[in-house]
Amino acid sequence: MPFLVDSIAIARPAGRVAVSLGFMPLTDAAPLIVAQQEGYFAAEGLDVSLSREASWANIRDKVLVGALDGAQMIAPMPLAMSLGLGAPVTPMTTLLTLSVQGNTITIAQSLLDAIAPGAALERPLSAAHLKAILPELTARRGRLLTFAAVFGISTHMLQLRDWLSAGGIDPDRDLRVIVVPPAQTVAQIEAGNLDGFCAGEPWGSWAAARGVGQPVALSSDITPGMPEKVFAVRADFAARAPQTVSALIRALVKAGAWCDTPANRAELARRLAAPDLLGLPDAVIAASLTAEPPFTPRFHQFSGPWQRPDFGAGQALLTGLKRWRLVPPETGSAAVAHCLRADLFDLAFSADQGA
Amino acid sequence: MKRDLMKLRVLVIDANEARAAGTQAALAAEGCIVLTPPPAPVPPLADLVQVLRPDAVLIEMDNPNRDALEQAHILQPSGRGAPILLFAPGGDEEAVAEALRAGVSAYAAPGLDFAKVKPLLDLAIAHFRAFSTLKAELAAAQQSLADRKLIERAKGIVMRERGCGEEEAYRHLRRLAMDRGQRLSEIAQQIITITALLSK
Repeated sequence: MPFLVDSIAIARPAGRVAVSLGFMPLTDAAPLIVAQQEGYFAAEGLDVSLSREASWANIRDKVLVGALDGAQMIAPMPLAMSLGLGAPVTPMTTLLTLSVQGNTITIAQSLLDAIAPGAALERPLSAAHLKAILPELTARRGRLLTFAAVFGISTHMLQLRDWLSAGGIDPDRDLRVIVVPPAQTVAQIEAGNLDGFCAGEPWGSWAAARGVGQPVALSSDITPGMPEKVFAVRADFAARAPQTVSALIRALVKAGAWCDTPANRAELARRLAAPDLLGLPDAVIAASLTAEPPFTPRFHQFSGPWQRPDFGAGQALLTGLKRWRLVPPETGSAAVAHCLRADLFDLAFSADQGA
Repeated sequence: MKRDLMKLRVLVIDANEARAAGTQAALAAEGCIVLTPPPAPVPPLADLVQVLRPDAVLIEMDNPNRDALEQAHILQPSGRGAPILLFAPGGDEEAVAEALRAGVSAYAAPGLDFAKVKPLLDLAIAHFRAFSTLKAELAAAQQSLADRKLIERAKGIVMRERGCGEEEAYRHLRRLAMDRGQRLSEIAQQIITITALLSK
C-alpha cells in the first residue's frame, strides 16, 4: 500500500517513512545508491529499501503492482507506462532526471578488425565504415548481422538506430536489431550471437576488458544531453504522498551533486563494484566514470539544470522515439507533459518545503 | 481445464531446474506441447522465440531475459510467435498481479484469447507457490532439527551440572524459557555458549 506512507508517518511521528525503490545494476544507478549510502534519504526522514532488479520489465511491473514505490527508469519508460505500451495503462510521474548520456555503441572486436585499420581508430566511429563491408560480410555469413539494444522502448534503441542510419545503414533491412539484457551483451558477443550493442556503462567497458569488443561511439556523440535515466513514481503515489516526493527529490539531487564531484568518482566506482550492486571489477566501472579514453569528463552527468523535468527535452525524446516507430505515431506532446512534473521538482526546493 | 490447454505450445524459461521440470511435467499432463530450450549457452531469447514459435511463454519473474522477450512484438509488429505480456488489453490484471507476486510472468502470442491462457497462468502460479511452500517447509524442518540438537546438548549440560535425570533437566530448561519469554532453543544456545566460555 505505497500510497499510505504519508499517513503512516503521521501515525508514527517518531518513525521514518518507509519507501521501497528499485534500480538496475548500471553505473547510472549511482544517485540512488549514493543517496542511500551517504544517508541523504535518512536525513530527509525516509527509510528507503533499495532493491536490485533483473530487468526493466521487472521494474515496470513492480511499480505497477505497488511492490516498488518508485524506481530508476529509462527516460521513455514513464511515458510508455502512461500510454499502456506493453502493460496496462498506468499514469506515471517523472520527478527528476537522474542522468544524461552514459551509453555506448560497442562492436565486436572481429567486426572492428574487418573494418579498414585506419578507420578503426576514428572516434566516434562512423557506421559508414561498417556499411562499406556489410554486404560482403552478410553474404559470407549467409545471414544478417545482429545488433542489440537493452530494451525496446528505450534511449538505447533510439541511439543505436540513429548511429546506424547516420552511416547509411537501414536498421530494419540491412541488419537485425534485437533486445538483449545488459548483463548478457558481452557473453552473447563471445558466443558469436551478437556483432554489437548499445548499452549503459559499464557494459561497453566490460566488453573491452574481456577483449571481445570496443566502445566505438558514445551516446554523448549521438544524442548529446538527452535524458537517460529518470526517477519516477506512479502518479497516484505522487498525489497522495507529496511530502515523501519532495524528500525523495531533495535527497536524489544531493546525491547527484556528490556523484559529479570529480574527487568522488574513483570512490563511486569502488562502491558500485560491490557484489550486491554491479558485481564487476572497480577498474572496469572506473573507466567511464574517471573519463579514461574513449570517455570524456562530460560523458556521465549526474547533476545539472537538466535534472528538473523539462518539456523540451521530453518533446525531443518523443520525436526520436517516433522516428523509429517505438511509440504510436499519434502520441501527442500532451502525453509527455502529463508525465513530467516540474512543479513537484520546484515545490521540493520552495521555502516552505525545504528542509 | 484439459481441453482448454490441449495442444498449446508452451515454452518454460526458469533457471531453477527442479521447478522448471515440475512445471513442464504439469503442463504436459494437461495436454500442452512443452517446448524445450536448447542447453546453455542459450541463444538470445528473441531468436529462440522466432524459432520455437510458442503460443505462450512462462518465465520466472527475475529472469533478465524478460526484456528480450517482451520487446520482440514491438520490433516485429507482424511477427507471429512474438509474445506479449499477459497484461495486455482484455487480460485479467488481478490474475497477472497475482502471478507476479508468485514470481512468475507469462507471455502469450498476439491474438491468443486471454481466457484460453488463464488456466495456464493459474497452473504456473500454483506451481511456483507450491515450490516456495516446499522451500519454506524444508527450511522449517532443517531449523527444527537444528533446534532439537541444541536442546539435546543443553539438556546434557544441565544433567551433568545438576546431577539430575533427563526429564528433570528438560523441565528446568522449559521453565527458564517460559520465565524469560524466550524460545527453548534460544535458552539452549545460551547455556551452551556460557558453558563453553566457563570451561575454557
